Amino acid sequence: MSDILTYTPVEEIPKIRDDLRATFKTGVTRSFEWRKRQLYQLARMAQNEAEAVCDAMTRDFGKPRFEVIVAELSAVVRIALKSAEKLEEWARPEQPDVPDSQRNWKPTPWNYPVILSLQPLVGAIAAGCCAVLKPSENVPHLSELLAKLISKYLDTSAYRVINGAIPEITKILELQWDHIFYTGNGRIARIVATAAAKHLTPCSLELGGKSPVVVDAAYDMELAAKRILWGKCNNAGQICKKQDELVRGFEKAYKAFFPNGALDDADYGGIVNDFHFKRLSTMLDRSQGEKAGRDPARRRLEPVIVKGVDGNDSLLEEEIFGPLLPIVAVDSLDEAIDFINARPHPLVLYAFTEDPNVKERLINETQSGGIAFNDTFQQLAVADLPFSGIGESGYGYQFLRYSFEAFTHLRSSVDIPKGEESRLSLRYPPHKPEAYQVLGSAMNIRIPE
Amino acid sequence: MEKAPFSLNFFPMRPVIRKESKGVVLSISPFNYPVWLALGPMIGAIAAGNCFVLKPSELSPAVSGLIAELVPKYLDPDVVRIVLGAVPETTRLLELPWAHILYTGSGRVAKIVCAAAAKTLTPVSTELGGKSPVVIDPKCDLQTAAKRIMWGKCVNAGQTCVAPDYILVPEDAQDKVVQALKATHDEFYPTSPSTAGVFGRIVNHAHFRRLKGLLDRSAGEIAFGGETNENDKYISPTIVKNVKGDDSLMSEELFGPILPIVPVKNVDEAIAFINDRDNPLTLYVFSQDAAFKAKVFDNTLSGSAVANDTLVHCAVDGLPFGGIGPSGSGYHTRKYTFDLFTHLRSSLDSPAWVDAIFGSRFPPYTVRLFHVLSLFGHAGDAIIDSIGKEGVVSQVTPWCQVTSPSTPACQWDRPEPSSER
Repeated sequence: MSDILTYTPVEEIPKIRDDLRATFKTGVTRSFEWRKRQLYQLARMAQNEAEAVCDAMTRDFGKPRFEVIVAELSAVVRIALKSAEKLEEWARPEQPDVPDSQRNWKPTPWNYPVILSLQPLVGAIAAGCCAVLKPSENVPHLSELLAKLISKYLDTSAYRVINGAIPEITKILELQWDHIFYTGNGRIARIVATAAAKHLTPCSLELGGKSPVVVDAAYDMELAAKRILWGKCNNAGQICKKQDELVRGFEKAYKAFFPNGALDDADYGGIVNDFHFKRLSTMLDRSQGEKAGRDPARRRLEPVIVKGVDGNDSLLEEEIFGPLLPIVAVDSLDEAIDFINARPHPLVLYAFTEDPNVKERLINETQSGGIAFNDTFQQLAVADLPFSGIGESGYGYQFLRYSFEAFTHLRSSVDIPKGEESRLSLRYPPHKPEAYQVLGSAMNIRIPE
Repeated sequence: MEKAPFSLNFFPMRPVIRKESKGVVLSISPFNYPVWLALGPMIGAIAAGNCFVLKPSELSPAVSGLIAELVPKYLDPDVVRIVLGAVPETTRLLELPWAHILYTGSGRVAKIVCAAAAKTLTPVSTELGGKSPVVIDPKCDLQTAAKRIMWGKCVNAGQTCVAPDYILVPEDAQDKVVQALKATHDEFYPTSPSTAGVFGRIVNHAHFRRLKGLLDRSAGEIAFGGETNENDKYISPTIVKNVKGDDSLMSEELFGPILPIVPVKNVDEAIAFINDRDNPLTLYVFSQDAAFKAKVFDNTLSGSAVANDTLVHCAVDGLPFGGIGPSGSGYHTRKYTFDLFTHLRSSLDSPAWVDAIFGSRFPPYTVRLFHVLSLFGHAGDAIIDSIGKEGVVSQVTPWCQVTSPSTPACQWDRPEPSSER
């Protein structure tokens, strides 16, 4: 147990689940008013406690205030409010009798700890579920804060936070849940899915992988560099023809973003912990490409562009999850497409090009969770778009209506009046020839050529 | 392709939801509706542009063999393949990664399928079963109810995932129900259900013995039926009354033509009985009383909620058919099957000029940029709305905080850049 983060006692974990189950049985979460109130509370929490959240993030890994507010807190507010506004419409039959699933568990990651924890929670609340949230122990200040704030703002008979590491997670995974929403990496996702299989629990897995950026030689390199550098999260291999121009573009963008260099800039974050800092350093050391600055004491790593990287480089072995940008030079779009397809499906495929043929080919000849042209990262801001991976990058959609649907069961219903009996009675034995003709009439339908 | 809902903030970036094929999918189908459950999902998968591997049941060898022979004649073998086999072959299939697996069958095997799929991060949908209860309101039109219940039970000799499994009815109405069921039975089978071609048989000897064993061990009374013939794998439609919750007939999904009646005191007891057990695939209620139906459906969970008939909901166009909890996950029929095998690939196409507005997202981050962004929706439209409505406290930063009587008020300024990390 860390000194900052209070772990939930393992023995308490089954009781938490039972409490939530009991609450769900009372039917309190069915009320749309109740759900809206909880969602407004969540939005208020994001607004009112922004300071505390930014502070916790700074302590945990120096995440710039701008990123917390813009990429995380404001998204929570917007999504919570929109869900509150829309949930009645979403819940309306079209889907008659939409009952709610019961409890959902969401272990969440550390990189965008607020939005990634709270966004699925919004969907669960909107759908009328009770929920347990298990935030990441890699951001102890924030997770500790979340535990306090959730209990302050939301109804604790329906929403709880469990903190901990492996023993606590193991305990959680032994129990039955009605849905598990996991955001993180493929290794743990397999453990989560295996545990869920024992109870036949459906899962949503939001994973990662290496999101490639294809840069068309004809595209404006400066603009590409600027937007790519900005979208530094998850960026992995970048594939393009004119490396040097792109590198110059990066240099220019970098100077514009961080006039005094990134290591000391408050607007640039740090690496989350020593383990990951060492991992990234080693990866960088082993790379055959050319590199730049680091500061181990403060776990800060400057954005590093590495050119001349080939397919076997250390930087291409696994998802980087850090500010290293390898550039792989290829001779043609074919080679770029082959390179991408030889690897697991990415969460997002980025491409910088204005050429409609290039776009068309990339869309048709690759698979990815999402695809974004001429920008990076921005697609996440369009909350109305379903966000998910495919293959190694995961499955299950989220954001707004899609989160709502992840936690909703479509319960089909029919009510057959007696009056239908004259039509329906053909189905009863003994079966007359007429029954075959009427009920089996499709056997004689003409099929188009 | 679907256009994302219109958003002033993002429309220049042309957000679009592409409906793409997932890739190569696997479907494992059961013996009971060996044609429909093999080909139905295939239709949705092909409509969605996928390649498809089917592993049909070894318990229906003649049909599965025929499907394996016919499908390559009619469909492109580069796109659709059939794999025949039992446990070893299925195990091998499950070791491989698939874009999606659909498993239709029992909960026991579903857990094995899901555990295997977890290793390759393959998404799985399951159509399972369970005990689908029938709650009868004694005031209902019993004659029609009996007809529809008996029909649902007799189709395929009860080997249907949504067959009415058992009946819950007040004790004093039990005999009336039995009589109505018997009358229907006699209408359906004027000679005998054992007459060739009018009534189904149990799929194999193992299942026959299973069902016979459940019946023999039951503490209930056979009201009518109970004839069996092992050679023929024949069990006649059988009604058993006065069955208790711990009876052998209540220990597992029947999947056979035996219909236990569990007498209860009232509808509350029926609801509690259902809720003490696994979520059923379908919950049936026979009643013309809206309040009665609402009470049962609102206080229970099930895959589907069906009033006044059995089985038909599977055939209703556009209704998503699927289970919940132990009865399965994922939906079927028509577009739902299509959607099961479709990947929603979100896409954006961001023109260069957008940075004139969104350029503020690039560092260095300044106060001015917060303000610009808040005007363009990053901060949430509601904040902007409430700024006008509620008399906001405006501080150094444009991140205006909304105060209202119910909000715990708290103040915050943007601090000076901190040197502490």
